[in-house]
Amino acid sequence: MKKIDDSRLYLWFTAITFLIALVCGVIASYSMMRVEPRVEAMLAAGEGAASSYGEAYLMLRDPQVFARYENFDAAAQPIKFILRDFDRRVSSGEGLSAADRPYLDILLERRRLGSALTRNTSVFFALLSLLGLGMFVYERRSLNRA
Amino acid sequence: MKRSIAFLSLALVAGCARAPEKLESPRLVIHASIRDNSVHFTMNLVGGLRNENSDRAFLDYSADAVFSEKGKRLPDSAFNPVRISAPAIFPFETVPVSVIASGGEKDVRPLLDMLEIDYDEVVKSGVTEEIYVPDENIELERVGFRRESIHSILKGKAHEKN
Repeated sequence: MKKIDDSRLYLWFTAITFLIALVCGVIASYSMMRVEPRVEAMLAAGEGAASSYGEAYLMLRDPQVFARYENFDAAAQPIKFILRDFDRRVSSGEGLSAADRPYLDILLERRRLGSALTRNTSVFFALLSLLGLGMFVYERRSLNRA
Repeated sequence: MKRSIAFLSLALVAGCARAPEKLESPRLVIHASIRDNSVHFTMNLVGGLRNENSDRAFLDYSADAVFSEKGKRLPDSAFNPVRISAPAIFPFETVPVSVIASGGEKDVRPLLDMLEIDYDEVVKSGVTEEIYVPDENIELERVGFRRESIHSILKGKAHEKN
């Protein structure tokens, strides 16, 4: 009986899952290694540095792609109140003060959760890609033996 | 097939940043007063405009609030349609809007009939209670606005401040 060659299928599966893992990995790394440390530094600078809270809010207002503000569950509804209030205040030139720091920390924590989710998704797809590669190698070997 | 793809694309694009399409909790009060030996009516319509987008603000929003009954628009009058407007509706915000319109008996009759309110009762008491207008009796038409990213609004303001 002739054996069906599935190696092409495994190769495509490996390539696609690897690509998804790569894209998610890049997104997670950018947020974790570039955006979050910068926001942390701005928050640490505090009120002393002119408008650092405002700058930090600006960065947090551009959400992590896996943690977009409209996608939050019911438990995260209060986030919308924070955004509503801060948008009005920043746009009217009122600015943010030390009293607003806890709310900025909440937004940063949300961003971190989004990054962690993106990283975990990347790892999941990388494992799938490895599995596909293993299947591909196994298929090639069994075809050569036959 | 092509039609379904076009419709799907349109729905996706429209779904990305939907402007307020209805008046939230619309309610009105009608006052009656005697002026120059004739009854004069003033309607105060209030409601909210909700922006459900997370990153889009709607600026210079305006729309016609149109009253209709059983899908049929009430005749045009001083009370129908009325123009509502809001300078800015930020993400996740519900902006209250209020509009006052004045007219005579001919203008107010269709509205009172739609809301099942007795005309003589309004004239006698001088004012109605606050009446909730069912969603099927009011809709927004001729909607106009400018759509802008909240990020660019805030960024512009921050740079202006600096």
